[in-house]
Amino acid sequence: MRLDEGKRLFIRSLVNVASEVIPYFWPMRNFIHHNPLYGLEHMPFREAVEKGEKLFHARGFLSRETYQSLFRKGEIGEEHLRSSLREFLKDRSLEGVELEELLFKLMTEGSDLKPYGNLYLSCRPEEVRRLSGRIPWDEDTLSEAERLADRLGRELTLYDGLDHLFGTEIGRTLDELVIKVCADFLDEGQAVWGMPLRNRGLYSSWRQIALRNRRFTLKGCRGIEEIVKECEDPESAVYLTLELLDIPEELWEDYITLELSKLHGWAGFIRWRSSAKDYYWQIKHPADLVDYLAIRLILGTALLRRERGRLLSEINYNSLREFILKNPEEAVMRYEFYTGRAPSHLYDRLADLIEEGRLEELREEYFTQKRKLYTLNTASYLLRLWELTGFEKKSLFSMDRERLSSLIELLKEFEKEEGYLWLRAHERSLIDEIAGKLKPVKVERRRPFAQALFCIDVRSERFRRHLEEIGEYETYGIAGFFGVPVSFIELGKGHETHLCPVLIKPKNVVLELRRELKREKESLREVLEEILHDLKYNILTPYITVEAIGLLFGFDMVGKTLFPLGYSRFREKLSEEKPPTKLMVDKPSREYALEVIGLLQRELIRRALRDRFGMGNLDEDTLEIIRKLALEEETSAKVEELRISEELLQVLRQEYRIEKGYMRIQMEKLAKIGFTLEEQVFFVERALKSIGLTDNFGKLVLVIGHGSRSENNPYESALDCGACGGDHGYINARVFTQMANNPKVRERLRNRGIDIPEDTVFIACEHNTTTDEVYIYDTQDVPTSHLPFLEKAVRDLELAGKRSAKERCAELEDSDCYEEERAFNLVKRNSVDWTQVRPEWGLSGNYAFIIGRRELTRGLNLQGKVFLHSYDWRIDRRGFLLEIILSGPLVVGEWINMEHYFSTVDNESYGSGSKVYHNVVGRFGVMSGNLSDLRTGLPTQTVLKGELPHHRPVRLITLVEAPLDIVEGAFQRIRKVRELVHNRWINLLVLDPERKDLLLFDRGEWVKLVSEVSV
Amino acid sequence: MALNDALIYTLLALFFPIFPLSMVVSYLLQKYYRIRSLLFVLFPSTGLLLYSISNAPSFPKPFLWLGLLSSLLYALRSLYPGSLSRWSVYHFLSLISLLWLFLLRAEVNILLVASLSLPFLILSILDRFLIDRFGSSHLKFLTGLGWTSPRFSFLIALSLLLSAGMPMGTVFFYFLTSSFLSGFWELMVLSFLWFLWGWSTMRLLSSLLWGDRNGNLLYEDLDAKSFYFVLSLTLITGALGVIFLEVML
Repeated sequence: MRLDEGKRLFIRSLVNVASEVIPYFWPMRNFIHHNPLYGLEHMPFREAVEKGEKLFHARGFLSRETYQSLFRKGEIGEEHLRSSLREFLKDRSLEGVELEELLFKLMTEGSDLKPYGNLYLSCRPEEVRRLSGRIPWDEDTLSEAERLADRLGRELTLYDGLDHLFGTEIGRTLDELVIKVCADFLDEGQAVWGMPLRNRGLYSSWRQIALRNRRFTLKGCRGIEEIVKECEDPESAVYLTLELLDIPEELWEDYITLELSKLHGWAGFIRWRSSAKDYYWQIKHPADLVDYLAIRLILGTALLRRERGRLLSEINYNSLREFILKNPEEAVMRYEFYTGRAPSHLYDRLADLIEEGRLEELREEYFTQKRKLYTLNTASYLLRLWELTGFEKKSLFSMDRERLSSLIELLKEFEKEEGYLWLRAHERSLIDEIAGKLKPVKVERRRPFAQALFCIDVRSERFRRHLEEIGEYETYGIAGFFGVPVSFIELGKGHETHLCPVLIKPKNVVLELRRELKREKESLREVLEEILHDLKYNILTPYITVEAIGLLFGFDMVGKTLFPLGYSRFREKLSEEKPPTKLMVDKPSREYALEVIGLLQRELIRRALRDRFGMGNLDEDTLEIIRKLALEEETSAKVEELRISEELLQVLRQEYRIEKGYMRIQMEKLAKIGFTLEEQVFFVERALKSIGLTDNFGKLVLVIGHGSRSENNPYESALDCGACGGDHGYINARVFTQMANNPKVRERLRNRGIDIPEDTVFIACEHNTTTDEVYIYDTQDVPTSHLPFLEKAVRDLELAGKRSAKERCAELEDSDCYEEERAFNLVKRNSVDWTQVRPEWGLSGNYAFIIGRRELTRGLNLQGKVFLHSYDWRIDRRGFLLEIILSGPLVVGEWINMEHYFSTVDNESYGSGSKVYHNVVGRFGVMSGNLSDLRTGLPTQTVLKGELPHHRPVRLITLVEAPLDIVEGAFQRIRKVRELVHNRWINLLVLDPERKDLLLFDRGEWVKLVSEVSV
Repeated sequence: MALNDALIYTLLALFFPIFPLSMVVSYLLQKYYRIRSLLFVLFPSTGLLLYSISNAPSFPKPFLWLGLLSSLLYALRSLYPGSLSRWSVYHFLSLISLLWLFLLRAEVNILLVASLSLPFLILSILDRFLIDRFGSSHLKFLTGLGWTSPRFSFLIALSLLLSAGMPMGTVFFYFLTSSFLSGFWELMVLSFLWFLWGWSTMRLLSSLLWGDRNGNLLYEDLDAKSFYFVLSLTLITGALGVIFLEVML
C-alpha cells in the first residue's frame, strides 16, 4: 500500500503538529538546558503544568511535605502564604468555618494528610463511623464508565485501555521493543556491530529487519509481517494502523501525541535530529518522528492483535469503547482493580473472580464496599483536619449534608491548587528578599587596572565578587558567547560545532590552525588507544585481552580510585599536549579562497593521475591546465595539444568532484569562514554597548568564558556554558579578543563612540567552574609591555579562584574547607575523581536574573544563584540593546531555570533520576538500568540534597534596571518574551531609576512593590 | 498396603503436604489467614509428631516423586502469586513438600522443621503488617514500598531471600542437603526448582519494593519496636542455619 501524495503530506503535517509538545533532546555531548514544557509555553504556566501532568504523568509542584520544610526554614514567608490562600478563597466561603485558618494549618502542618484510601485504618473507628454516615456520595458508575470510554484515544491509547481493563502488559512490551529499535538504529559508535541498512533511514531499515525477524513474533507481535509488507513507507504505516485500530480521524492528532509522549526522551531525540539537518549522524542515518511513530504503531497493532479473540472478539477503538459502555460496572471494577484503586480488602477475591470470569458475583458487594470506604476515609480525613486545626469537632458533626458536601468540594479544589499557592508564596518571598537586598553602591570613576567580562552564568557571581574584593577590577556580565555566534572547526576535527545559544544558527565559521608548521603524524598513544578499543569491543578478543592486559587496568582503577589527584597529574604528563593554535577570524578574500581551492584541486589531480592512470609527477602549469579543462575554463584545443583523454576529465569531474558546480559549493563554504571587518566591528560594538562598557578601559580586559572538567560524568556538558551551545566558552572568548584587539576594528569603533586606548589589551581566558582555576589563552599575542600586568592578573585570578572554591566547597558540605588552599585542592580532587557524582552544584539554585549596572549588586553576596547581565539604560534610550538581552540571554536563562524547576519538582519524570543507575547509550544519552526511556532532565545529584531540594524551584525572577517605558517598549517588540511574562513562566520586575519605583508585572498590570528605592 | 500404613501415608501427605492433599492445606492457609503463622508451624510439627509416633516408617518411592513434583508445581504457581500472602503459602508448600526427600532418604527432626517454619512465621508477621496498614498485600495494589518504608523493605528483602535459599540461611543448607540426597534426575528437578524459587522471589521483591507508589495510599513504615522484634527473629533464622549445618555435619 502506498498513499497518494496528499495523504502522505497530511500524515507528515499531523505528526509535526502532534509532536510540538514533545521537548527536544540534544545529545549529551552538548547538553542543552531547556524547558521540558517548551511546547506548551504558549499556554499559561498553570494550565501547561496540568497538561504536562496528563501527558508525562509528572507532578508540576513539590509535595506539601517538601514545601513545609522550606516554610520551616523560613524560605517561604507566612504573610505570602496567607496572601496566596486569601486569593484562592476570594470567591469561596463556608458558613461557620474559618477557611483561611483551616487551609493554612493544613498546608503548614498537615503532613501526609489527604483522603487516602487506607486512612480510616489509622483513625478512631467510633467517631469515623458516626461522621461517615453523613458524608454525601454522588458517584454514578455509568458516568464513571462514560468518562473512562471518553478518555480512550485522548488520554489513553488502546493498549493502555487493555492493560487497565484486562491486566495485560502490552505497553511495557511495546516500550521495550521500541527502545531496542531506537538504541540499535541511533547508535553513534558505541556498538561494535551496527544495525544493517541504516543509511536507508529508520523506517526502511527496520522494515527490512521486521520482515524476517522472529523476535517480534516471539514477543507476541502477531501478524507483524503482514502489516509491514503492506506498508512500504512510514506515512502509509501510520495511516493504515490508525485505520486498523478504528481511531476516529478527529482523534488522530491526540492519539499521535499520546504515542509520542510514552517515550518522550527517545521521541525528543529523534525530533531534534530530524530538525538538525547538518548533524553528522542524521545525514548518515536519517530518522524522523514519522518513522518512529510508524514503527511504534505497527508493533502496537501487532501486540494488540494477539489479544484478539482471547479478551475481546475484536480489538479496536470501537470494540473497546463498546465493552466499557455495555458493561459499565465490570469495566469500572476491572479498571479500579488494575490501577490499584479498588477496595483493598477485596483484592484477593477480585483477582480470583476475574481469573474465573465470575466478576458479576461480586458486583453488589464491590460497590457497597467502595461507597463505605469512601465515606470512612473522607470522614477520617475531616476529623484529622479538625484535630489539626484545633476546631471543635462539634462544629463538624453539626454540619448538614449540604455544607459537608461544599466543604469536601472545596477541599478537592484546594488540593488541585495547593502546589501553585505554595509556588506563588515562595516566589513572593524571594522577590521580597531581592528587593530588600538591593543597595546600590557608588563607584568612583577612575581607570581600573583591568576589566573582566564574565558569562551571566550564576557561577560567575562568586568569582566576580572575590575578584572585585581584591581591588582595581571592574567586572561585567554578558552571555558567555560574548555575542559572537561561532561555528567552530577544531584542529584535527572535520565537523562544525555551534558555539552559541541553540536559538541562533551561526553564519560564520572559525577554523583552528596550528601556530607552528609541523608535519602530521600519528602518535604511538593514538595507535595504542585504537588497538585497545578494538580488543575491548570485538566479540572474541575480550577474553584474551582480560587475561593479557587486565592487570594494567587494575593499576588504572587503583590510581583513579585512591589517588585521583596525583594519578590524574601523572596521566596528564603521559598524554600529549595540544599544540599551540590560533583562530582564523578574519574573512579570507575571494582571491585567497580561489587559490586555496586551486591548490587542493591540483593535489587531487596529481593523485588521480598517479593512482588511476599511472602517470608520474607533472609540473604545476600542466596540472593547472588540466584543472581548468575539468572546470571547462580552458578550450578543448588544449585537450588535443596535451593529449588529454576525455576519460580523464570525466573521472576528475565525477569521482574527484573537480567541476564548476561543486566548486561553487566549495566557494560558498569558504565564504563562511571568518568575519568581515564590518561584522567584527558590529559584534564588538554590540557586545560592549550592551554591557555599558564604552569608556574608561583598563590596561587589560579579561574576556573570561567558562567550562567544566570532571571525570566519568556523562552530564559534564550540562556544567558547561549554555550560551555556547553546552560547550566550553573559551573559543568565543578567543574570537572576541582577537576581534577587539584588531587595530582596524578599534579605529572604526572610535568613530562610533567607543574609544579603546592603544594600551588596552583584551585577553581570552576560561574559568573552570569545577575547580575555580582560570586558564589564559593566546599569551603569545600579548605585547611584552603588558606581561607584568598579565602576571599580576594571573595572581589575582588565582586568589579569587581560591576564595571562590572555599565558598563553594562549604556548600558541597565538605568538612575540610576551612582554609583556601585546602578547599582549592578538594575541588580539584572532585573534578578528577571518577567516583564523584557531584563534582559541583553547577547552576543549581538559580532563581533570579538581574539586568542592570553592577553598582546595583556590587555589595551583595548572591551566593552564586543569580544570573547577572550588565546593562546601562543610559546608553540605550530606545531599548534596542535591552531587546537583544531579553530575546537572547533571558530566554536561555528561562530554559535553564525551568529545566532545574521541573527536574526538582519531579525528578523521576522530568529529571533523570539518580546517576547511580545511569548507563550511557549510543554515546548520545543515558538510560536508567539497561532499558529505559532516554533520561532527559537533570540528575538527582544536581538538584536535590538528600530528599530535599537544593535548587530553589521557582520561576525565574527577572529584574530589569531601566525606566518602565524602555522596558515596556522592548517587551512589546518581542513576542516570545511577552508570551513568557503574560503566561507567567517568568516573574518580571522593573527597577525604574527615574521614578525610583520597584514594580512587578502581575496578571497584566504593573504593581508597585517598593517606592523611593535608592538608585 | 495395610490400612494402617495407608492412613499414616495419607496423614503425612497432608501434614507434609503433597499434591493433591496440598490443595486442602493451600485452601486452609489462604482462608484462615489470621492464624496463618500458627498453621505454618502447626502443619509440619504435627507431621513430625506423626512421623515420630509411627516410628519413621519407610515410604514407597512414588512419594519421593510426588513430593518433588508438588514442590515444582507450587514453585511454578508462586511465579504469579498475586500477593505476598499467597506467595508465602505457595512457597511454603513448595518447600515443605521437599521434606519427602528427607523422609525417604534420611530423617526429619525438630530442628529441620522449626528452621523451615520460622522464615514463614516472619513472612506472616510482615504480611499482617501490610494488611493492617493497607488492607491488602496484593501486588496490583501495593507497590513502591522501597521508597517509603525502608525498615519494612529491609526486613522483607532479608526474610524473602532467606526463605528462598540465600546462603547461610536454613533453607540454603536444607536445599544443599537435599541435593546430596538426590540422584541425577532428582538433582535436575532440584536445580530447576532453585531457579524457580529465585525467580519468583525476585519478581515478588521487585513488584513490592520498586515501581511507582500508589498515590491513593498513606504509606507508613514499621515502628522501631516491631522492626527490632522481626529483625531478631530473622537473625535467629540465620543462626539456625549455622546450627543446622553443625548438626548435619
